[in-house]
Amino acid sequence: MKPIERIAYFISTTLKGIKSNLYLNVVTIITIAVAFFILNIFFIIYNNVNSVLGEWKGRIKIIAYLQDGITDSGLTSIENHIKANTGIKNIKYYSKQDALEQFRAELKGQAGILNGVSADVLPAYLAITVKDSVLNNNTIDKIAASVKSIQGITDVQYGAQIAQKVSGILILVKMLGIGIGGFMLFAIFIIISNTIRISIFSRKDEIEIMKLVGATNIFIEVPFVLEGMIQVLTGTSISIVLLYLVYRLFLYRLHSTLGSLFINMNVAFISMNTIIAILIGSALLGIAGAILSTGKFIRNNY
Amino acid sequence: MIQLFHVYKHYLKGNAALEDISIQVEKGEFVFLTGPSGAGKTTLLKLMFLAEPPTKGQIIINGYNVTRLKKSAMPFLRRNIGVVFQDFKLLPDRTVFDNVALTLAVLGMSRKGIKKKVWEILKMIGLQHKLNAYPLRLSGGEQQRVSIARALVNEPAILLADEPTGNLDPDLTNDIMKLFEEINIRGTTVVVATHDKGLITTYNKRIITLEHGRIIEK
Ligand SMILES: Nc1ncnc2c1ncn2[C@@H]1O[C@H](COP(=O)(O)OP(=O)(O)O)[C@@H](O)[C@H]1O
Ligand SMILES: [Mg+2]
Repeated sequence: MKPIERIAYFISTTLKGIKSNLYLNVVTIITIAVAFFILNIFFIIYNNVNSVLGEWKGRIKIIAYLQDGITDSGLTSIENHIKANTGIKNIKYYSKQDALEQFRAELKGQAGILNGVSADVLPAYLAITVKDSVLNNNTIDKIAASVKSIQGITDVQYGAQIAQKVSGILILVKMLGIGIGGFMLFAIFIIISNTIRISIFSRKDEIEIMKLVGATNIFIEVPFVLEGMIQVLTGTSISIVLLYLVYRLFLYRLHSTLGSLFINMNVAFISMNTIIAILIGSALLGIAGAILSTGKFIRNNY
Repeated sequence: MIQLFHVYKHYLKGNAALEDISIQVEKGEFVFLTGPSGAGKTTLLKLMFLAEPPTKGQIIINGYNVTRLKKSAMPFLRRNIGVVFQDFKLLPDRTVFDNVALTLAVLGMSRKGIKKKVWEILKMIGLQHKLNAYPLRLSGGEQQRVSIARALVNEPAILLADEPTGNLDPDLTNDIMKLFEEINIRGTTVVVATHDKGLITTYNKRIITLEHGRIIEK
């Protein structure tokens, strides 16, 4: 047999096998589609909340106000003290003049109020950004307290409580997702290996004869492994298409109800790379599930 | 061609099926394996076509020591052995052509080569006109001929038959036996297991008799 002929043989044998157990195959594929659908919804929600939070987190700062008349060396010493805390990403110094400009920028159109206000009124400050890990372990309070206790710092301000809470919830969602995801992948693995087992048993006589006339195990197994792969791939593909339809519909609804309220409302779908990864991963899952059964029920012979 | 040295077979449950069997079948021989039901004929054939491992002893088929053969090499040795059963073991959802072609498909032969070979063997057994029939629409004798065609289509060196005429009436039995003789004349080593005494007396061949799993000298 030429390679192409062999591939054709395997594919036609696989399709015949699926056809002869059509009902079982359809049920398996639907089950897998539903499982992946749920899994992917989780994934989309997590991804979107995570990216919003990430942006938000990037903006969280501890503002440490400085006493008037700090010298350059005093400033360096304060910065070193701050850096002694773990989780400090960046420290930026704002002089009185910088502070005023910053204030003006924030007031935008109403900056006129500040006319005649001298930079001297406002304190100079340090803007401290922290690493994600700080938000995740809730140590920002500690850092802020420690910064406040440094000589030359009059006061600190930070608004990270909400971010901390959301961050905590997100970790929970992630863990739940991993838990449910792991369970579902395991369930799919079991379902596939079970379907293939039934498929093998329904073709028991044929397998016996093939062995009798000298077929190698691989030759007998390939169509079953392909069957497992096709089932999972079909299931995931259906789930992704379904998910996309639901996503479009949802976004449409969202936009038409909220109108122009949230101009920047942008819920991202799963990325193309992720889709490819899901398809490859699920193909491997199907192959593994099938091999579990072919190993057990085809290779068991003397 | 087939050699057994002090072979024993014990199934997990039950008594010894074969005890201390030593036999030698030469290339081109025609041998009857006989004895009452339960004597161990089927078991002995199963050892020969690698369906069961022996509990003890050495088996050499076509120059290969079966007991030392790697599992992965077994399919290749099986290709030298054609097997025929009392109940034919044809696949009911496949045509005559596809049933016979299966033997060649697993060898990886091309579709064209398969067509030619299957046609030739069906012509030899006189069933070329039933190419597209399904096995259950054929008579018992025809079904057995198809199963023989399946066993022989890749020209194995050895043909093993387990009660091949057990389900057939005397006329058809004769047809099948004639076919075996013809194959044997062409050089295939043939071993036929049967408890049918009439068959053995009609065809004058070498006889190996089993009783309670042992060879009885005659
Ligand atoms: N798969 C098996 N498991 C356990 N015992 C078996 C099995 N096959 C055959 N036997 C036993 O081995 C003995 C020989 O059986 P068998 O080889 O079928 O004899 P025959 O073909 O001569 O009738 C019998 O006692 C039978 O019950
Ligand atoms: Mg028997």
